[in-house]
Amino acid sequence: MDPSVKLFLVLVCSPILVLALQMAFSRLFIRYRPDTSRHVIFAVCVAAGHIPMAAAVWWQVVRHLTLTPSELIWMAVYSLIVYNMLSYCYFHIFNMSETARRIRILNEIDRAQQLRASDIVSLYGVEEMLNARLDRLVKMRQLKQSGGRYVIDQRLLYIAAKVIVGARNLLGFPPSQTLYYKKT
Amino acid sequence: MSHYILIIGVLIFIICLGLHILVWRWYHPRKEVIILFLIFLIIPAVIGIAGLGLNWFGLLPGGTGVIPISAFDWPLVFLLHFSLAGAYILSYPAIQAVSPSLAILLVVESSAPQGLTSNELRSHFTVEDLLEARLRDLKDGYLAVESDGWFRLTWRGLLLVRFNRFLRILLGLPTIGG
Repeated sequence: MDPSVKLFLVLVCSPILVLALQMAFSRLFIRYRPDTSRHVIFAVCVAAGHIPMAAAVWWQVVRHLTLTPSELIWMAVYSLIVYNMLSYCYFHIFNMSETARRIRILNEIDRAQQLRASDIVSLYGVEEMLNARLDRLVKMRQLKQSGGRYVIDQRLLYIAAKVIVGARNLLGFPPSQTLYYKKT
Repeated sequence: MSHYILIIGVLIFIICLGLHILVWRWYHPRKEVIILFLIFLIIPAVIGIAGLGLNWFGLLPGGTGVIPISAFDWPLVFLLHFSLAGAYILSYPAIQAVSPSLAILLVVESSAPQGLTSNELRSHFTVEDLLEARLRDLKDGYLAVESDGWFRLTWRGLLLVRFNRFLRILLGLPTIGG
């Protein structure tokens, strides 16, 4: 089999590798460190997954080839990008089940077979939605409480939020459609 | 590995991204996800398959000399593009819909350094912002239908719910998140 095809097949399995690690780590953390944010656990899985993925690329592809140093570097850069992008794709699939309002609403409709909009609001109200997110952000150390007030802790997600505002501007979303411009 | 694989893969993605920005600024489509799939996945795949086909029959001017990578390397080029495209498409809902988590961070930062209490934070969010817009998204995405004021799942919505529950069972998590 051509080495390029082997590399393709190995990297395509990145999400499966991360899922397998997450199945193991998730149960371990639930048992021994139940307060750990599930997003942090996911990040640990992706970070840890670099090792078996690098080993698989070396075993299946690199050791069969004679590569110049620059070719090796390009292959490493390529593999890093594809592994992390595919892991990021899987992250969104996992995150959808974890945080997405749409999925939560679909679950509520499925449980009840049918619901009115007012029923959905009472089942999954603003209060619960915000509390869940505040707890999650505090666990992820993006927010902290100081004297009963919420303040920014680490800035990673805050920077992501600013990038998204920039992307919305670039794509021509009207400012009035975004919550970010209200009361700030 | 040839560095052209990386360059061409990233270039295809950047071209698709540029097309996406132009289309959105000129005419913001209603069926956003379908158009995203068209721009980032379907059109590049069709062009790629057509190009490989033309090259196979020797109809591509200059043959493989035009772009100095072998036929076996093209799957790697498209894997790079599709992984970047997939990452962008899956990030798009966070751009399109107001993410309460990210909005919370922006609102809290805007009140720095004193911060906000829970009640002050809540005053920034309404039912329209958080729920009603998402209900419209579910209808637009054919995940749910509304009839006489009642919301029911479509088969697509049901499939999505079942898949998410299965994933959470695999991970040993409670079956409902959000």
